[in-house]
Amino acid sequence: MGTILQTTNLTKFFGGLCAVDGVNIEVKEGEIRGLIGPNGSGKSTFLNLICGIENNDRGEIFFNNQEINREPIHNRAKMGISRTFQTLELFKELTVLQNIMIGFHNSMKSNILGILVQTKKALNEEKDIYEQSTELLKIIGISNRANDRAGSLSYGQQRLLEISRALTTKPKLLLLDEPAAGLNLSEINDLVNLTYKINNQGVTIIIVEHRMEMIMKISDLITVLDEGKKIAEGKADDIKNNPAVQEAYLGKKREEYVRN
Amino acid sequence: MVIQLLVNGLGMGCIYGLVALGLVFIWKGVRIVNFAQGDFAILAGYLLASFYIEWQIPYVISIFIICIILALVSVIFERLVYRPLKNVSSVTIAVCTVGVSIFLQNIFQIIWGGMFIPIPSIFGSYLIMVGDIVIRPEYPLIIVVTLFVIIFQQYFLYNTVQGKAMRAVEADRDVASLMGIDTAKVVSTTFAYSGVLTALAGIMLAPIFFLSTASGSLIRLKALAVLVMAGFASVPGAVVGGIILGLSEVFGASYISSEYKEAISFGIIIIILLFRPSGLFGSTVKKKV
Amino acid sequence: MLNSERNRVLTIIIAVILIIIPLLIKSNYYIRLINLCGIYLLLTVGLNIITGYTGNPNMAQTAFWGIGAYASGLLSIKLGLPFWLSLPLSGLVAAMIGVLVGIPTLKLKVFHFAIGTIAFGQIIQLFFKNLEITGGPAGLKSIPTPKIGNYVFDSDFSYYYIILFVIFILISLAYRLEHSKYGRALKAIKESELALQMLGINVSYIKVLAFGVSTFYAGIAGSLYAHLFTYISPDTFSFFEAVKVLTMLYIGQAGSISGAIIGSIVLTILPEALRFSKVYYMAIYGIGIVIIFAYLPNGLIGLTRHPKIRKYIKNLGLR
Repeated sequence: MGTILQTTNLTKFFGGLCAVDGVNIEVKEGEIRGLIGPNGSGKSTFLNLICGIENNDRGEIFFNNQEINREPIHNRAKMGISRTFQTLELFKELTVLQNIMIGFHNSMKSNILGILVQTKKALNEEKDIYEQSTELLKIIGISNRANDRAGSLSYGQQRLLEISRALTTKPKLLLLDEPAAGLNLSEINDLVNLTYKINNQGVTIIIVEHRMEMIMKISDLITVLDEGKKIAEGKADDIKNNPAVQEAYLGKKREEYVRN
Repeated sequence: MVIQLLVNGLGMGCIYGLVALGLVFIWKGVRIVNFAQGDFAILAGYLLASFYIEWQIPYVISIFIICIILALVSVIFERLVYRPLKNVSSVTIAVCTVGVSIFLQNIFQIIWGGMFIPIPSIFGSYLIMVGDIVIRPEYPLIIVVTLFVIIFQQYFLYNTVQGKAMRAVEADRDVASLMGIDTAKVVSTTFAYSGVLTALAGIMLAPIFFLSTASGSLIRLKALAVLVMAGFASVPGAVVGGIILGLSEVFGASYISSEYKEAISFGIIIIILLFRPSGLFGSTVKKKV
Repeated sequence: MLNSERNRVLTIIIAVILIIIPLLIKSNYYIRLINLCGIYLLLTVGLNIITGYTGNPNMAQTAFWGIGAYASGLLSIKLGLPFWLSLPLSGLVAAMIGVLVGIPTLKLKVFHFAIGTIAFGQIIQLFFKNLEITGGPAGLKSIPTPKIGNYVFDSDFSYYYIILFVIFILISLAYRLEHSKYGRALKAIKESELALQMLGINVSYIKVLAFGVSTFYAGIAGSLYAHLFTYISPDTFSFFEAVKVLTMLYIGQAGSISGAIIGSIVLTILPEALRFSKVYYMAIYGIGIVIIFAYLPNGLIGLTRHPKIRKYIKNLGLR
């Protein structure tokens, strides 16, 4: 299994604040990597740097051994990086079906001329995508809401829709940003199963989460960030018992407070 | 010759700056661009014609009354157009203000007719002579008045309770109201103040500019250019931008061509938007997503 | 009757009516009005493609209208090209300039884009007024009327069919665009540009594409206008007109082709109906703009989707 993602000395400043500080990470193909850390530790910024929403100030990012530092977001997506957002970025006013169909945008090869003239190729592609999208909705179980406004779905269904949409581009690396936020226990269970299913199809996953039980259970390896720096990396048990990790979350101050 | 152009340019620049200041305050307060601001200035000019010339009310009293009227008009504008439409997008509200502008221009037509109204100078035919350079006394007066406005404004915003309240509301509306500030009243005060600024601009503009129903459109576009230069939210930017525009126009008309004088404002807008969209005084904000 | 059957019958009826309109209308004034309606219709449907879908208010649509008109007029007068050539060419000229303008401006935030297009529109109008080649403030005269062989389209009644034909084609194209991958992506821009990019879509590219198509429509409308009136004045292509076209889009429904059609028809015909006093009409027009944009955000078409009105229509048995 090769390395699919590698960062060396990845650093990002916001004004005077260092949000990501010299992070070195190596994720192997097919892994499920958990990324945890207290609030403000730089997890979201790290994800933003990987997919190109922010540009790093120092260091390099390698995807499939290719340096992608200066690639715009849509190019990185075309290369195989996909991402879901903590605050859902669904097209709320469009229908559920349209949300999925937009995901297939790039797999449709006819250009504007073909569409305007309505060549056979263009018509067939449109029909094909329609069928693929409907099929996908059936698989994830919301085909009865296909023509409803995406914003009218329940929160859990919206999450499901967003993840499914992210899969339409057949990504090699999927970044999940707090996918369990706002879900109840049974929905989290479904999410875990879905994540395994996606991983089994060969998709490498990096998941940022605050729900410890979920991350510990699902990750092959866990990376811990604190104040922008990587402070620990390893299997779930090692991380659980790591004093530096505990300190990061609970803080030294508590001891001092107790002492006083 | 250059000195004459300099004084004229500075003078016109101050007027543009004052109108743009009105726009900046409204933007900082409620995040909208008022496309009728130019017509407010022209309204002040028309009122001056009625009060000072037609009804022979003394000049200073006229100015006083006009400032009050424009302050009231601004607040009415805020209550009628802005307040009921808070949930609509800013661009939509901006287009509404264009509607208000059209409405105003035609009210002007109804009340004052379509002819261009000349306003005689309060200085009579007195002209300032420096050597062989002729300067209309209007221009230095404008510069002095603008200076006073800026000084007063600085004092007001930084040394009085109401001024600080205004700055608080502009910075963060929710926090300000949590701190007990009556944000609605502050917003109305902001609009009233911008009305006064615009009134002064219009009054000083009247003797040296064409006072006709469509003049508001001309002023509007120049004020927009200054607003863009100021990055929408910079108070010093409005004044400096106004001066830059005034000087560019006057020197441009003189040395390049007077037909394309109007193009200077639009050219400035385009250049700034292309190379420094956040204005000359804003920090560079890249539009990533 | 089945729904699809009823639709087909309705379409045929509408088509027949459209074809025989010039035979039903006798007055030159009204047929000229209808032709003007058609031209504004093209402008508005074009505007919808950039502004209706993506929310970027293109305040230069009428400037491109002018570019198309002058281009077509000059191509015919100076180069002697027949109308049938200068029509598509002026559309292309407008589209190319549109792409050039769109590339830098569509990177800006919505407000800056609006102001940028206002500035561009004003500069273009200034050029129209001052350049020698465009005839200066007097405008361009003696633009030739279209002809096929010996038949000359010199009356509004015959010109009507040219406009009808062009509208038919351009509306079909607009419809196809809306129901394609581009239409979907464009409509999603308002929702989340970020998500689109994360799906591998180059948002800047499709924005510029939409802008180019929109200005193409404006250019075509310009050419039709120029050869109908045979005389164009730079005053026509003003900021005021740009606001008018924007209002047409919003009064119908921004984001829908039928909205654009309804809006352009309403706002071309209504002013003529209120002709009694120009000044009062304009004051009302100003207030009308405020009301439309503020209280009818979804336009007249949106009004028909309003629950109370839907109930009313249902009760009338029309659904």
